[in-house]
Amino acid sequence: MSAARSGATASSDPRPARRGPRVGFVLIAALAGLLAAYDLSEAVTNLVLVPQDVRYQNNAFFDEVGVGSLAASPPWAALWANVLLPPVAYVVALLVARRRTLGRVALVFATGLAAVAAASLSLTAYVLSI
Amino acid sequence: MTDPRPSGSAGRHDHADATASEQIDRDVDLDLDDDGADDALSWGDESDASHVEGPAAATHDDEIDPDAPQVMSSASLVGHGVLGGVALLSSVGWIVSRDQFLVAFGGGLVEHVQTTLWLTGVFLALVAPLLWFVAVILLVPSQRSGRRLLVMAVGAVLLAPWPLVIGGGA
Repeated sequence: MSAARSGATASSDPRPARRGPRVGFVLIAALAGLLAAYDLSEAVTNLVLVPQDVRYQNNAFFDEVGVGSLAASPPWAALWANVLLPPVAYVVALLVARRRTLGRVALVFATGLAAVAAASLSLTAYVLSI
Repeated sequence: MTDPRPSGSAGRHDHADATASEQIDRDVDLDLDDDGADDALSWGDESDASHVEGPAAATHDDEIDPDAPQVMSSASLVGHGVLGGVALLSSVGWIVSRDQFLVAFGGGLVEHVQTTLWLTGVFLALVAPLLWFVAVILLVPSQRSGRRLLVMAVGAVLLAPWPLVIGGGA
């Protein structure tokens, strides 16, 4: 959204020298957006599939037979944090990358994607460890 | 910058018994002292016929040169060193624990794409702490050393190799 806005600004700018960096910015932002979307799809997959795990399916039975203390709840906080992470990081990277040189724009988006990747692996390790 | 005319201000007080010519000399001297000192210490530029290239004249704007390297405080320097070391160790920790993330999704075309994307993410995770450190150095001005250290500390917590600590697999 913000990238589209800067693109519109560039096309209304009469100086042709401004067009190059803006096109590069949009390309980098689009590529980073695709990779962030893949991170998001992984997180959504986990959000859907992890609560279907066998150990979370017997809670009703445990309650019925009076051993409710065995009931297990999926780690909703970690799963939702993993879903929110890619879009939040992408928006932050977009804001930080505004009005910077192309190399730094690429660095910002690469750092954002790397941070999402590392934090997602950490969250996944936590989800699998409990 | 030192006062170029240490006796000039004292000389002004005895103008009552100074002759008119001495007063004029003093005025000329004061004018030269005010704005001509630097001119007197330079010998023209490249357009001067007698110009000989020598060492660059000392400039007085070192303090306001925005491109000059800033001198950091010792505490800030130590903070940079510590957090840089933490970033390096974090990346080492990720690289040491990389085997638990190296999974493949199967043999089909879609699975190959998935595997490539997954391994790209794993590689980015391995270098994430160092990338964060470099990005903070390049993107946050060194004058804002407090903000720099804060962002570095956030990265140190966020990007620590937690799977190595927790022990879970991918």
